[in-house]
Amino acid sequence: MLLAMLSMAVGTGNIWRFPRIAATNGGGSFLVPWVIFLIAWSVPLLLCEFAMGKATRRNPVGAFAELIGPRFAWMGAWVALCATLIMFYYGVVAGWCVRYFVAAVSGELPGAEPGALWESYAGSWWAVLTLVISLALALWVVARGVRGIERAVLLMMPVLIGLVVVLAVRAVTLPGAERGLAFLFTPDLSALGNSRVWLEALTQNAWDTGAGWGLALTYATYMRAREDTTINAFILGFGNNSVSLLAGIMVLCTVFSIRPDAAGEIVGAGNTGLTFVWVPQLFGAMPGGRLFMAMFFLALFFAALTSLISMIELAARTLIDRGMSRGRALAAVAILALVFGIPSALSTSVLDNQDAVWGVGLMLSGLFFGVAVLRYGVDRFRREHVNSAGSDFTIGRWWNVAMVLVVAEALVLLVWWFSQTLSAEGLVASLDPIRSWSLGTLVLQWAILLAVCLGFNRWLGRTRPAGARSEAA
Amino acid sequence: MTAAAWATMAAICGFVWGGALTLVAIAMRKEGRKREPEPASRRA
Repeated sequence: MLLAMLSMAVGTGNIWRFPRIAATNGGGSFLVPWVIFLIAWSVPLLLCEFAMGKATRRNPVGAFAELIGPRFAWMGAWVALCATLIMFYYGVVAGWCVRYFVAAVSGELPGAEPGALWESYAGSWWAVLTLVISLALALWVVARGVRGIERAVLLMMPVLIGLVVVLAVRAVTLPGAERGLAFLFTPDLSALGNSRVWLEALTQNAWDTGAGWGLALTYATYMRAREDTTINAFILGFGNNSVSLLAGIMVLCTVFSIRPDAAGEIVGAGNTGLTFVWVPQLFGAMPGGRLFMAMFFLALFFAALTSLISMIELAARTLIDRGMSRGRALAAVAILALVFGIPSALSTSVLDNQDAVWGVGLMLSGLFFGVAVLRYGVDRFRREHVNSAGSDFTIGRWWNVAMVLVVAEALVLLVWWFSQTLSAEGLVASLDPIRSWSLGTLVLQWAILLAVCLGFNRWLGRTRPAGARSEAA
Repeated sequence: MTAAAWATMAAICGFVWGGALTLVAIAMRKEGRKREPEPASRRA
């Protein structure tokens, strides 16, 4: 079960996203808040999600409605829709893995010039084609419940983790790699005064571990009543962050070794394809590199596919629980994923924009989980649901404090970041509705999603699934 | 690498990787105990 859960959470967020975010936020300065949020955000939220899923046996909308009343169904809708909006561009990233696997097999990679394939492929119609392939495969698995794929994933996950370990070791032994380590681990305490670094650290931690996505909640609805979740929540958090840290070392040491003259500019530019550009170079410096590279991108694709499957299942489950048939729900998810995924496939700027908006949106999802628990009674929730029958470990009162902190962290960070951005950029520039990481684009898209959730709140609260409370044996 | 970088690397990697390995060891020991058959005297 643990391996299945790790498959859900270990994905491109650890290997594609972490090195880029760590690099653009100053390396060492970023890692300090990132580690703090593992304990102060991800682990308490995962414990909360597992407990909520096991207690209610419903999708996020139904879970919020049952726990704190139908008036709050919109909070669950936000959680489900935020994960679904991430799924729209996540399919694009899964498609990149398909393309890079083909390139590794055909011998196109590593190529003479790092990034040549990335430049010609990312944002082209080929990226749309690979998006279609990855979406079709994920939907096929969800629709047919293909057992073979599940078994393949369980085999590929240790392969991926093993390859990341081998690659990280190889990367630190490259000449000049210590400069990459120095970049990643030298703390610049002055950067800790920048709200954006803290915001990105929290968002990345949510991406790494899956905290606040509603995926752990959905997973827990299928768990046996006496299944322990406490140790699994901790392993999910620490295990995922371990893989992310290895991926960061692997990519940054490679960049600093191969391009020592321009490494600072390369990693600081925040290239969306940082991992895709530089990992093939690392394989090029290894014996049998082409075979291992093909295995790496195949395993990375499987990791992305399992995460994509979880997101599709979450979106479909929510529609099914609203009364839609499974076939129609999957067709609706497929059409929406394609329509909203194509802009991100054709433009990495759009993908960056969506990544920023819904990445930070996960912070609101976490906030809503915290608010739900506080409203229910944090100590009551801990006693009744977190420390339920079957728990191998008892969670103490520290968790009550942690959930209060989750709410406080989200509110303080939002206010801090808004005020710091407004004073640094001015009102007009910060309200740009297009640019990634502008207040304008964030507020506009959040407002639209909130309006949709609140507009349908009565319906969401009213049409609760009948007879869906099927306690697992 | 400066001393501060080495110290940060040791602290962060030790905490994250050490934490993960310890947790996996605890979980495996717990699973192992669950699978152990009860002693005959207790079953009787």
